Amino acid sequence: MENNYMLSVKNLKKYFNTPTGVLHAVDDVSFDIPEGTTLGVVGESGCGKSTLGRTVLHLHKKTSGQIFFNGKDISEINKHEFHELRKEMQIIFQDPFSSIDPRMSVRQLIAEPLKIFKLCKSKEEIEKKVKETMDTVGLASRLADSYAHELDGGRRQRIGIGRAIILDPKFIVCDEPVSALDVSIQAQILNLMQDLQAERNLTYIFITHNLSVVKHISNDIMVMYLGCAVEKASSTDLFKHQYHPYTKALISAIPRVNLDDKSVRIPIKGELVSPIDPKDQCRFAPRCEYACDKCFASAPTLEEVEPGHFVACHRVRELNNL
Amino acid sequence: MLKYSVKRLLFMILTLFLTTLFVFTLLEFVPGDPARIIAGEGATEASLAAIRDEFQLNDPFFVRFFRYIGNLLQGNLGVSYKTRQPIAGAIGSRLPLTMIIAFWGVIVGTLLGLLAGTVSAVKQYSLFDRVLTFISLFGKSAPSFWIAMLFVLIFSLKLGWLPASGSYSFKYWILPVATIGLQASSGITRMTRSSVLEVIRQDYIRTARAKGQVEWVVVIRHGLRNAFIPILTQISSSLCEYLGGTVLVESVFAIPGIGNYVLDAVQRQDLPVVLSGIFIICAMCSVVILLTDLAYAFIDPRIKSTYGFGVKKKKADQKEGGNK
Repeated sequence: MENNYMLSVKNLKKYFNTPTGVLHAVDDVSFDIPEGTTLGVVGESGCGKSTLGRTVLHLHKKTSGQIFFNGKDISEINKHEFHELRKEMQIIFQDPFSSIDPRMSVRQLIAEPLKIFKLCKSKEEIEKKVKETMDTVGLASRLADSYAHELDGGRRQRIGIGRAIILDPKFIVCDEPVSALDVSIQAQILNLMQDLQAERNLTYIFITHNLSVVKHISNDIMVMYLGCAVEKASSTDLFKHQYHPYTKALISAIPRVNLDDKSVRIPIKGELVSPIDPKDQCRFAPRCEYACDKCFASAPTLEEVEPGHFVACHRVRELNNL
Repeated sequence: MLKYSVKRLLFMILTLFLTTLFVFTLLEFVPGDPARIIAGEGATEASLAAIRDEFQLNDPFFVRFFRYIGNLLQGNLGVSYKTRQPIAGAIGSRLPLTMIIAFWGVIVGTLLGLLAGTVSAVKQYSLFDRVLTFISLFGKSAPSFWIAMLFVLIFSLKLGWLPASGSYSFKYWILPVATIGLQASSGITRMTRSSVLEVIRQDYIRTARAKGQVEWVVVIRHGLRNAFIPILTQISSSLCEYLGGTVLVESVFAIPGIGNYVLDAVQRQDLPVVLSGIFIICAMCSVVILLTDLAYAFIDPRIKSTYGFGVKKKKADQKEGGNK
């Protein structure tokens, strides 16, 4: 395993057993994230982005696959070993309203990880560290005794970030950290996260359905559809040219303010098919205007069509003249 | 906070006043002449008149009512028609017993209920959960006197470990406390289970897990604590129930408690005892409910800040700045 990757995921699968069948939430996803960079994971609701993030952090038990953190295989380690790793791997949750315990003050919320890992010896030390962290994430220290319900969404999300970074983690899964916030506050939080990344050389998985956000923050982007990665490339590459029909449609749907822009929005017809017991076919085929018999016969795998640009589509070369 | 407490206290006094008025009025309509009840069968008209004079029974309704209230305010609960003894003394000797049994019963029930309810919520649909659901349904539906007699049969008569009746020392209280504990626990278990089930699906529980918190701490600190308000309501209503109504249990174990005392008084038409007994029970329940309401605020900071509890908010310091 290459050591310069902070996180490598190989063929990760997460299936859920439901009464109607096996739900393939994450199906055979692989990626590598170099240290200090951000992988953006985009896709529509229910495509398995959040499940992917949580499975990487062992918040869900994976079905199969391997996860390497800092070159070390962490896919089979036990609870106690992973407990130690929580110091280095953290997560920021989507909804700052429901993901914060309403019975705890800001101080308690941010200090809890320190207490869990007993990293500070005295109360003063905890107090100092909490104050520092609140300062870092831009929470005024007068708010230390407030409760989450007294604060606005942006400040609540700052609590979420504060409690994630207080242990000085190396790697953070950001699970739609700004989607519940106002646009003006989104920018503040994104800037905060980028500053933190620059200061502390953090590695992020940035999960979102907002393409403008992902363009702003990511080095690499992975597009997911129904649990599968359909296209993977560096951020600049992907926004320059997209090869998968789904990605094309997604990018074309970004609202633009340029009146002269002649780009045509590509609509996707049909409905998301059920992720329960999917057939061995391209998951996007039922909605794809280019779908042929082959697409319904077998699932495509990611292939490198350009250096560093991976696409999972049977007809990618033919359609894009590659 | 102070304002809130004072307001609640005033409401409590109003409740007590209205309850007293209600019971007093109700007892007016009890058939039979109080004087005859006091004097017993075959009393002469002259002695009845003397009794009416002595107990001031000829005064109009409101005069008697406010005289009673006036006495209450001075701590005088009146005199029993039957024994001619002050009621305060009789209640004073019985109340502690009832309180001991009710409090300990509810404490035992709470401990059992919290433990069982939390475990069955965490292990939903497990065998443990199903067995527990059955037991709590059983505990709720089985009559307390029957459970009490079952306990006597097993622990006193068969095994001979504990005395069957009376109230002289700690040993005598175990069976009644166990009976009440079992009954109280079934309600608390069910409430805890449903309340914890609702909370452990919340996002902030997942956050706590992501922080690396140990599972049982997550369940207790973040789960149970947030689920506690309905459970506390259940606990306090059980406590009120047992403070006033352990008559059946008291009868089986022959405990001279307040429930028995009031029941006896009803049977003998000893009206002042009934009135004062109900007043005392009502007063205890009001205090329990008041304390419960105040406890809510300590459990839930959202309620605390609504009441304006003494959270001293510093004025924003210019140097500290706001949200940068």
